[in-house]
Amino acid sequence: MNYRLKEKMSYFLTHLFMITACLITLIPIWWVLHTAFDNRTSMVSTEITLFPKNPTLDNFIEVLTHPSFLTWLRNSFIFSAGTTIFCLALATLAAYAFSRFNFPGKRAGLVSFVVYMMLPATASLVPQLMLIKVLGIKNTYISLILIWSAANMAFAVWNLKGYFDTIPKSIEEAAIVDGASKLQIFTLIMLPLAKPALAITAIFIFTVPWTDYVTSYLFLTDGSMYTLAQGLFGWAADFRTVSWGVFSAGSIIMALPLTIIYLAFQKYIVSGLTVGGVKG
Amino acid sequence: MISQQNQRPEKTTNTTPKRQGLLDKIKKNKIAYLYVLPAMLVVLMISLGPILYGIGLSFFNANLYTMGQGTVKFVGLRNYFRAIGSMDAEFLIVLFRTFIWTIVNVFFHVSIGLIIAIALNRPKLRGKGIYRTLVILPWAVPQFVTALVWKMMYNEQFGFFNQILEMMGIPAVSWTSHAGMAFVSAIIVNIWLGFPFMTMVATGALQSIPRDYYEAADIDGASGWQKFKNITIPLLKPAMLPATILGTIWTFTNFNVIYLITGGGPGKATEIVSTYQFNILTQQNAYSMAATYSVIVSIILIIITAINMRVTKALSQEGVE
Repeated sequence: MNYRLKEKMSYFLTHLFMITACLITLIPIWWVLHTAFDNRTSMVSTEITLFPKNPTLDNFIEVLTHPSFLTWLRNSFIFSAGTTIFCLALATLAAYAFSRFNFPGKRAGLVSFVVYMMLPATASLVPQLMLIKVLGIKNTYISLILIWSAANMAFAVWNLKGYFDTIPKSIEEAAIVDGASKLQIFTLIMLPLAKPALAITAIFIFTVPWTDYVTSYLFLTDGSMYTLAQGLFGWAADFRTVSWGVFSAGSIIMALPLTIIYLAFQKYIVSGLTVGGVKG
Repeated sequence: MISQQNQRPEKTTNTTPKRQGLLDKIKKNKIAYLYVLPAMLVVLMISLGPILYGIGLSFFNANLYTMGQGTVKFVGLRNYFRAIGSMDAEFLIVLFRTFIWTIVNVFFHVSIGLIIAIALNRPKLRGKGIYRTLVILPWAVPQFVTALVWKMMYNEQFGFFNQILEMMGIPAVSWTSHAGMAFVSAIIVNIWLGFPFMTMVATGALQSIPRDYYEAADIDGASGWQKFKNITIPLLKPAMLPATILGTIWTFTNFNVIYLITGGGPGKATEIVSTYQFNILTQQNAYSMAATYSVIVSIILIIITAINMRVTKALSQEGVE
């Protein structure tokens, strides 16, 4: 009896602890949702309610009809999708070669990727600015797609190579017997098998342009090329331009797709990060 | 069983290199080079080249002024002496602050993350799934967005925290405008952001510890602390150490939290290396100095990684024996 009571008590305390922890993690998220769905025009309030008193979608309508917000959303999407497609395509090819061919210079190539990841990446910003100017592609989509792709390439190659390594070679050998060419093996067998790793790597790559502020701030000087990160930063820096409600609605639009994806794939993302990260 | 035994020798013959001329080997693998080339070229041109150029810049006196005048010249190690010597003690203070920032954050990330993972791992706890999802939310929402949201909550006039304090009749706190407080505020945000990752890693590791171990320990009459110290901690190490290394690097190089919450201010009171470098670059246009700081920071990171890898290796060998 005494033991049971003790156990009950300890579970009660655990629940209490977990509820406190959840409250702490939820407060900022509750606050941004509350602000976004609230129709309050004045920021000063004397009461705080769990749910907005007069819930409304006005802030979302305003942000989605805001001309610059739509431009930022479009730009961010083009940068992120472009970087993902470009970087993933090149990284997959390279990773496949590193995993399946035994060519002279393979080790050196792989090691060079690791060494490269240790180099001071931020030292490259000024030379990159010069390079973009010389190439005459300042304020273009391609300029930052190239820069973000290069920045993520080493990680993507290592991550995908690690996955290709786990696919048994016997599958390809069977295909060779059936007369498939190397290219066919790659596109028809390896790529479909590597779908999970490709998806996770794509998520990693997509996140970088979507949330990077420094690179877009340094490289994009034309307002029509601004990204969501730049735009929302500007709104947060001076809340007189838009209300907090509109800012919050914008933040939610920026965050929601990634949040859902991260929650859905959490296990794979965490193992991808620790495995790929430590290898690199 | 038989098939397993058959597979083994096959594997070893596959990995032993056949004696071949180097040229033949290169020719035979032409297609491999073709596959690797595009990725290598992009990295080389867009990233590696500029990095090397940047490292080179750290030995010159390039800034907006000298570049405009055409008076850029080689200065040897002068920038490095300036960075770590007495002439520019500012950077050393920033570096010291970055170490404190990293140690405090990583300590709380790991300890809070671990405690929550252990609580979630209790066998008869109800509502685990819901707790887990709610607790990892700070990890799932992009850091850029949550940092901006915290910044608004810290707002002195209209922010959430001061509103609450006002309702309770407590005078408002200058969350981001007082030097010491601003640093604490930023650390609070970063702890909030960082512990869920550790919770996730630790949960995964805890689930792989067989319950029998604890039951056997119970039979032997081990106390809760003894079980924690002798079963949980040693079996968590292989997963937690790499995650901690990663967390250390992420925290050391974190830019968003400080930059978005305090901007490095008030004054330069909350500047850490990443924001300091950025401000030197964008406000003073001191290209060579910024590059010098980058090189110093990456040397520090390489040292941290090397030490950590050594410790991890030593520990994993310990586990094998």
